[in-house]
Amino acid sequence: MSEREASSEARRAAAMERRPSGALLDISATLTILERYPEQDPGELVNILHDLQAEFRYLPEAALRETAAYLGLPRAQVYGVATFYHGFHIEPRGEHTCTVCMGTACHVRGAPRLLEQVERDTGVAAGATAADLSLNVEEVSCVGACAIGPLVILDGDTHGHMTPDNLSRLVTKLLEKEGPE
Amino acid sequence: MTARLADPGALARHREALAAVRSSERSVVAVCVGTGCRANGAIDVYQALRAEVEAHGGARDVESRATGCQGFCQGGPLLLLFPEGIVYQHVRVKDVPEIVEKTVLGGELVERLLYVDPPTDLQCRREEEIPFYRHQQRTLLRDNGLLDPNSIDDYIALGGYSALAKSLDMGSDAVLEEVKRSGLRGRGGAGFPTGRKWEACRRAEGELKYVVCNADEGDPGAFMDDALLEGNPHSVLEGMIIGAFAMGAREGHVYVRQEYPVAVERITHAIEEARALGLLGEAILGSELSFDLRVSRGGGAFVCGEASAMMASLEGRRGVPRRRLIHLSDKGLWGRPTNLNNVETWANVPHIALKGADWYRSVGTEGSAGTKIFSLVGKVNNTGLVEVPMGTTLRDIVFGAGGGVPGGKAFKAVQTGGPSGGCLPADKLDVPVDFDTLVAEGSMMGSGGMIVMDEDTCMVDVAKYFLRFLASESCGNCTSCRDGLAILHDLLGDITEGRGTRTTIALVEELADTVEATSLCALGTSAVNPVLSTLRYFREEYLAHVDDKRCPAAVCKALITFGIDAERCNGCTLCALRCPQHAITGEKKQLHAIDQELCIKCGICKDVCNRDAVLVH
Amino acid sequence: MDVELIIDDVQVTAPEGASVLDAARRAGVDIPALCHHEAVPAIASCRLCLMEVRRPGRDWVQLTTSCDYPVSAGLVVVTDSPRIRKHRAMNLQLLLRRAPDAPVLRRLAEEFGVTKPLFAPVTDAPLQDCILCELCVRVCSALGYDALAAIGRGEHKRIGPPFGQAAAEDCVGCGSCVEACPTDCIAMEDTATTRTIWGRTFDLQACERCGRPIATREHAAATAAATELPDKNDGLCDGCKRRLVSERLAAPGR
Repeated sequence: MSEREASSEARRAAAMERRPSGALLDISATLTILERYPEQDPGELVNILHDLQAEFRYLPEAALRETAAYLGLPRAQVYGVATFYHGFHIEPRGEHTCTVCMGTACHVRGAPRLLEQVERDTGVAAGATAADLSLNVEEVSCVGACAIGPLVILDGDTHGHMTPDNLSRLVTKLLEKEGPE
Repeated sequence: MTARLADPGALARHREALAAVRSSERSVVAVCVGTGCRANGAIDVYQALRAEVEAHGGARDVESRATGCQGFCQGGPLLLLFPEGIVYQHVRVKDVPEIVEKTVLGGELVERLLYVDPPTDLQCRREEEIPFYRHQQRTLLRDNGLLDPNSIDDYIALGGYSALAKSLDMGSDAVLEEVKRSGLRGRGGAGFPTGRKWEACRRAEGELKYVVCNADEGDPGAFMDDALLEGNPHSVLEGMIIGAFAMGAREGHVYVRQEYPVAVERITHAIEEARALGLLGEAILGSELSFDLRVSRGGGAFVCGEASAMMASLEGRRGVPRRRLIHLSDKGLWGRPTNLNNVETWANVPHIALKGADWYRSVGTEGSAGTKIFSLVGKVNNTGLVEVPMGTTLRDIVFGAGGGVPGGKAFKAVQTGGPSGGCLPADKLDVPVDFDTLVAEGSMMGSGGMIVMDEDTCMVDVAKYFLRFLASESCGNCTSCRDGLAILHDLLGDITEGRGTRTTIALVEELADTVEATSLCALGTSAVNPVLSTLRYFREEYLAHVDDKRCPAAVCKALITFGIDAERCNGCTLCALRCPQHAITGEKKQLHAIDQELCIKCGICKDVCNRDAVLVH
Repeated sequence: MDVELIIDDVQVTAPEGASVLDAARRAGVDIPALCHHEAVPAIASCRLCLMEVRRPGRDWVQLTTSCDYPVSAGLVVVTDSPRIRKHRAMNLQLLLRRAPDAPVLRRLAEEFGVTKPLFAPVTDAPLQDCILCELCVRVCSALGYDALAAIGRGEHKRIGPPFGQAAAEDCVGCGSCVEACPTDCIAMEDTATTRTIWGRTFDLQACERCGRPIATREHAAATAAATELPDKNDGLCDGCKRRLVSERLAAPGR
């Protein structure tokens, strides 16, 4: 066994020890992601958080702890970074996502009404997740498709020239479907 | 697989070899799959095109190409045919078989897909005929339609990396001189002279230096950098390699905002391709230059577009800016000399290296040389990316390329410079746009976002919108910015909701003064520009809100009422059916009425009414 | 290497690397600053320590913070002017909104003519009276514990243990954050034998001679580990250590 493999095994063993009982986090998946990056290199923190979030759909506490250990950073710093950037979520996310673009061009074309409509229909405000984890409502400031604004992105599909009425119908349909993987 | 290019000669030979294979008689059908067109279904169109070309057995003579953003987003999905240069707009999957049969193979036009110029009703066949393009000088964006952004060979075939070869030959001193003489100013917003910045980094003490590409592009409504990265990533890379050579940098980062996953993909792929050919890595093209790049993603923070905050982010810390008494060119990333430039700035560099400072200066104005890409959006007919020489007037951009305001509405203002900029009214339309003129008028160029607003836009609402955005993006370090912007937003809320008085306006001005004077970074200091510029040019609108509790543009919900015009209503009941509050009553074929107690001013009734019978006072 | 600069028309000498704020205070000029502590890096958060400064050879005067501005030869600094007072007063208003009852803010408000609050106080912040100056975070980090994090950003930034914990796992109960906090907003409760802070209750080691509490066990252990000296407390508080030394010195036959 190579030195690298040996230290990787040791790392996994230590992480399993640390894992709080009952935690559902896949430690192995976390470490596989971490090991794509050099140890103790704080510059990779944000890239790592992106990869972890792509894997788990949010940033579980245990994953953040392992990241801090791997990079040799204080947990407070890792948590402070994870909560600073709006692209990261530290709470479990809903199955579907409705993102309303609130860029200036879309705003001028009536985007706030779209956000209000979703909130009216689903009770979920921008930045929040439905209590039953069915839906996340997000706002984003400009995705670069201003020509078709105001637009919403539903589970990755972009819909332009949106009106509150149309959005209402699309969101209903969205919630009836199975979520993206 | 092409081997590493050992020297400029090998690069030239590779280019020749590519030219030999790429017959100029060959038809190329390019479908724009930039973000805007992609959101409009362009990928399906591209795939249908490929299938159709295959089916006709014409894959040998006809190349289908998925390209980056062509800029004419309003006409998307766009399809171009070369070498004729024919432009088809609003192309749907169902149009593809006809296009292939009639135009590609048959040489005939599908007229309904041609752009028609509204004032003249003339059909435009080629790009040069379309007013949107006629008003532009597309130095940086031109190749977006001609190459597959995933192909370094396409870039090389068009002349790519010859600027790098020339730079290596000229020597780093000469390259630096050329960039200095060109007068290139940063395209990210501040307009700082790029050559001077490069020189500072070059002169700085330290073995290891960095170059960084700022692709955080946070101004809402601006997507120029996305178009460059998605559509022609090598043009940016080449600029960075030349810059690394001129400054003596060994490592670099491309920092891309996380909201641009396609840009991240393209630039990552481009870097891999460049490395494989030896255009990145050790001894580039056999020279002494060794340089490599990494792609870093942002986490979702507008403030990280600020250079020192970006470096904090790259160092694994919260994106909090720091004071810059010591320049980043002396102590930047990891305390080492760092040169940070915007995507568009880097894209200008190969042109300057290849064609020289004199050529560059021949375009634009005395103080601002070259072209600028503007993202023209909002209440404008031709939404899209417009590249024009500096010094072009706002009128030319908005009404010339932009085709004016849709729906016959009156132009009201154009907002430039993003959340750090200001709103300019109609009497400023003849201002020639450059860095200094816009500042003189109370705005700024910023990264190039240009939002057009019409008579239905409430300028107080616009100011409130920007304050909300900036308050949510504040890093939270400074009391003045963090709390000041939140309160300013609340005060503007008071004004738009009918609780404002003259005192409110006075307090807004006083607080804005302190936010501007005492915030650490440009987010805070320039955050007051939208509200101060709208107070300057549209004060009467603010006064209507506070004195008369009236919103002249009929936008601010608390100050408007929805009613139904007795003359126009035909009792179709559509509004009543759609009203989410069940606030509309009326019998079929009878005049309907809106219950003001229940009405929440959502505007759905106005949207669905076919008779324009819903009035807003 | 010392540096000569002018503060309020008076020639001042300061060590290289010092901030203008430090130099001014050493020269007896008090510039108010709430988020500043000599032992930790400055972040210029409160925005009260304003000055007007002109660099040698330039005629342009800049209004800026002094805590994070290094001294350099020939700087000309003014610490009081109508412009400084105006903006300091407004920033005080903003701070009072978060910490209306903090004594230091009330004193400063009086000194700088802030009589009537302009803004309704914030009552729903997670930590009442916190002005988000991050002194606690910086001090805790400088001491090597990193028990506190700056969480979120902007108006909703808050200070607390990471992971939303009710009890700060890395805290050793040293109380340095309480000492550093300008508005006294961190709750710490000591009994004869315990200390409760940041959701944790620590046992306080008692002095073997007088019985008064010295430090938490965790703090003592962490200090011993950090200094690599034997547990230097010897079970005695500072006062009793001094008395012991005096006794030994006074003992007959020495």
